[in-house]
Amino acid sequence: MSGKTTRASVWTIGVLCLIVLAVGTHWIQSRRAPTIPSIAFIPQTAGAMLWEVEHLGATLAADKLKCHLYWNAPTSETDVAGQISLIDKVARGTYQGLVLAPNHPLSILTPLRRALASGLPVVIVSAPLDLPANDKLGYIVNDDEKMGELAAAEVARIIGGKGSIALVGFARYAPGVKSRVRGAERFLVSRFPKIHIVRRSAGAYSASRSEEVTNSTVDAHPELKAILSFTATSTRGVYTVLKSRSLQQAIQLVGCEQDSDLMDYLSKGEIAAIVAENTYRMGYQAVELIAASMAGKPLPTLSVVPPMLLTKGNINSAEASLFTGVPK
Amino acid sequence: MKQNSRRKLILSTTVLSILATGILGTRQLYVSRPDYGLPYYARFTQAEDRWTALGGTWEVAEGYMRNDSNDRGAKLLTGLPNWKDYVLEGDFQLLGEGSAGVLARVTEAEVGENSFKGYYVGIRTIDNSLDLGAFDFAYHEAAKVTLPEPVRLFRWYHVKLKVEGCRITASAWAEGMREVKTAPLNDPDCFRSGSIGLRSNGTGGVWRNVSVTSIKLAEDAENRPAQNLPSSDGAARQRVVLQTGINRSGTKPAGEGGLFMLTTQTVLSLQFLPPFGAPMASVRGSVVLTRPAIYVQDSTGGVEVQSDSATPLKIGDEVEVTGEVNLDKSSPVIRKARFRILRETVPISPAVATANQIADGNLDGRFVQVEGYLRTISAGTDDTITLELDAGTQSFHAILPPGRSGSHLRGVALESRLRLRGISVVDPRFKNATDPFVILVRSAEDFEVVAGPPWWRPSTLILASLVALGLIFAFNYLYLLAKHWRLRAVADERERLAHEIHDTLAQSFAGIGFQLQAIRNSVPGGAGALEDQVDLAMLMARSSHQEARRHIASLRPESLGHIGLLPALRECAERMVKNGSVTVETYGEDSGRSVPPRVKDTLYRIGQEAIANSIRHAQPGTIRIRLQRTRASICLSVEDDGEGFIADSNRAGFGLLGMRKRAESISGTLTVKSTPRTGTLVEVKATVGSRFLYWPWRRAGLFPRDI
Repeated sequence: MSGKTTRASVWTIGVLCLIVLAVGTHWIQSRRAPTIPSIAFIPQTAGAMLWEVEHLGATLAADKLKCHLYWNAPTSETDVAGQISLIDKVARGTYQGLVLAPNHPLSILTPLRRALASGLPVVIVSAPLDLPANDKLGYIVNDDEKMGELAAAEVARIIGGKGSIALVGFARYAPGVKSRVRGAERFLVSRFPKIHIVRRSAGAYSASRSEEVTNSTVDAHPELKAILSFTATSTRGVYTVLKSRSLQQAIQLVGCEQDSDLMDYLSKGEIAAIVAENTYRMGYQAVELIAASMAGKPLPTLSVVPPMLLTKGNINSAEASLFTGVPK
Repeated sequence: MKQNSRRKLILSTTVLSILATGILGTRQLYVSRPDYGLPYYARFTQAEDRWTALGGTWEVAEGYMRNDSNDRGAKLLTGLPNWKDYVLEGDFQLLGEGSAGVLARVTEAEVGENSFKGYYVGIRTIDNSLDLGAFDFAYHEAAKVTLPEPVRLFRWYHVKLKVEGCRITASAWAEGMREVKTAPLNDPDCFRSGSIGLRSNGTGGVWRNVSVTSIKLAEDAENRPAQNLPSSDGAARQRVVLQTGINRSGTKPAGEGGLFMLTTQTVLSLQFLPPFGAPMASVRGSVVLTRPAIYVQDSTGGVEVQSDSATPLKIGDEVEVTGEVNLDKSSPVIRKARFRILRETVPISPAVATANQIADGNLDGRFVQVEGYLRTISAGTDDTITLELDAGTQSFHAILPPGRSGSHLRGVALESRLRLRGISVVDPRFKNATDPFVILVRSAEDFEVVAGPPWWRPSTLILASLVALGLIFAFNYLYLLAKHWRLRAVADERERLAHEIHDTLAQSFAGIGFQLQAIRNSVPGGAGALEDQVDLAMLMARSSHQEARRHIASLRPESLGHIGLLPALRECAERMVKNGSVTVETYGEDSGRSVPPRVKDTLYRIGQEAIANSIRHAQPGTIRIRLQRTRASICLSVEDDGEGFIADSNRAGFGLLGMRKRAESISGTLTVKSTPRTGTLVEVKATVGSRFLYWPWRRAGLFPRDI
């Protein structure tokens, strides 16, 4: 073989070595942990009070622990694909932990498995999944059964322990909502047998759907005394119908999950009560747990955070401000 | 390679090719005999599954073949297309209202109710008849005979279909029922040959004891006593059919009270029932799965139905289900269910969905079609097979039923793109905690390979690289071999020329010299001018003889192959200076490193020319030949102490130009150093390639080890 060929081979091998070296260096550089630990937080959506309060808690915890907090979410709690994309991005990135409020209990499992496989400790907030907890996977969840109980108790109190009510905001694959329904129904069946549930309907994440079922329920049951709604979206739909038909005094509305507009209606007395999640505490604790996990401590299996009943009477209290994010 | 060897190689290759073609052709002739593979007895075991299903959900079970689907025109085929005249027999049961039977001389079969060509005989419930007919992508009934008794479900019927030339006959009987025969079908344009099959239409069926025998064998068997069919209430039926907890008539069962009086509701609305107290509910829908769990689907969704007793439901049965609704899990389940079959209908078609859509949960319990890339195959519980698939951002598992799935999966490579049809289920009882859902595949026919694994898989790339490398080496080898052959041919031709010159010119010059010497001896003294002329002629003849000998020496390269480059040049030089006063000295070592033959031959020619020039023009006292070999180069020099000349490239002679061209042909350089009266040095340097590239060929004997 000629010398020219040998020289060309040497050059080719040299260039290939340089390329491999460059790519390898870049990869190592990209995988190297940054000086300041970085924690990713992906809530169900952003811009709503529920999640902004959680953001506040997480930010304060991150500041205290000198961590960088990456906060991003899909624009809607029904945008499952958007949340999957964010999880995959975090799993590929240089984060040391992930806090996630899943938009869907099933669709999120595969990307979550990928994130765990990449070595990320993960804390699930808001509602549990089918995945069992372990050293790298922990849960901080809202006490949804208690939330349902509080809402049912308030409905019972308002209507005097008897009469017809409707339940709005069911969701088949939202374990948190199902727990609220179960908690509310168990409470009513055991404590207030004279309260009759005339209708159970969907609309957890669709205001128009909850408007539709509220309209038909009100038409079909003129004796209706109260509506218990299980999510902020369904509460918004029910409120719109009751207001448009001037039924706010005749039919009392008790909702679950706080949001800015709902707090406004509550303070005006147009909504009887809202049972709020303590997302502030969930956000704060989640970041603390990730930081502890980064220090080598195993994640606790399950931490349950109690909700709070907000009414016109206590909405301005200091305790309520932790739930609404409005400083006192 | 010698001519003989080549001839032998070509001859043996040709003989082998003819032999292989002959064997293959003979085998093909043997296999295509019209009775090849006969007699055939279907065993219906998992290990011997040579059946192809077109529609239906076919599964083997303890010597039986069962189709649990109400699919229209479900077919299961086997046998060879060249089967011509034979008798097809078998037992079968009908599982519902419809028809079932056997097929003969089947060709061009596709999925579809009438999508094949062939003959059919079967029993149908609508008019209690035995039918014989032909399919040609449409059914043509040829003969029909009413059975002496009404057709009973779950009863074994024995059917026989004889195809002989263009005469087709059929008969059937059952235990306690006399044999009935149809009128023969005489079809001058009949289908001449084809495979066999089982067929059901609008209901499911169970088959057993299916056999195909030649006409002669069947006629011999007819003379033997007939075998009795076992009772329909016997063990076989108990294994295959369990009929409990079901009201197949569509009427309200006695003693059920108001159980079936509940208003039916949609499957979707079950989730809005009170979560406590096991509320009763009733739904109507089509059965989409019977094993490992029963699923019923309506237009709003699917639901699992659990019954305390086994039920002989078929896929496609439209049922009303009443039971307690359990809402503890993510999906409602109807427990303690009672069924009422409303009608037997064609099974529901699958909803085509992506894995992401199914992971949403809204298709839970529904019959879906989904595609994914196969990652792993593993054995599941109860002889099931579990596939792990990836599709986009989702991963999921599919559970294949026991039975024929294993043989269908044979040869399916990982990373293949599969299309699956089955029930999507999110119940943790069936799925892993890390999966969003699982697909419960109904039968082995409900999965297919859409595309094989992508070619850019690492294993494929490695294989392709190895093949490419092999091809490069092979090409390189062949190239070098061809070159070697060409050089050998040139050498052979030169040798031939040398022999020619030796035998003709050299001999003639010698003869002329001898004759001139004789003339010179006979010339009397004093004939001065004549003597001078004869002497001159003798001198010319001697000179020409020497020139001829030099040419012979230069044209004979065989010494290269035996004694190496340096000894060859020495021998050449010594031949040229034979009987002279010139001393030949050689320097250098035989390092054992091989040199490509082309380089070696060129160096030899250059050296030969340099030696010849020196002897011819320089009148040297000594000629020194040096050869130096390094790892990457070789250097040959020929030096003399003769008269020398003024080295001027512009005035170089023909010999010098030839040497330079030869040197360039091997990417070498030629240097000539000479001044008057100080001798001449001719030096040629050439590079030799990496040992690696020709190492394998050296082992093959292409290159000699010496230089």
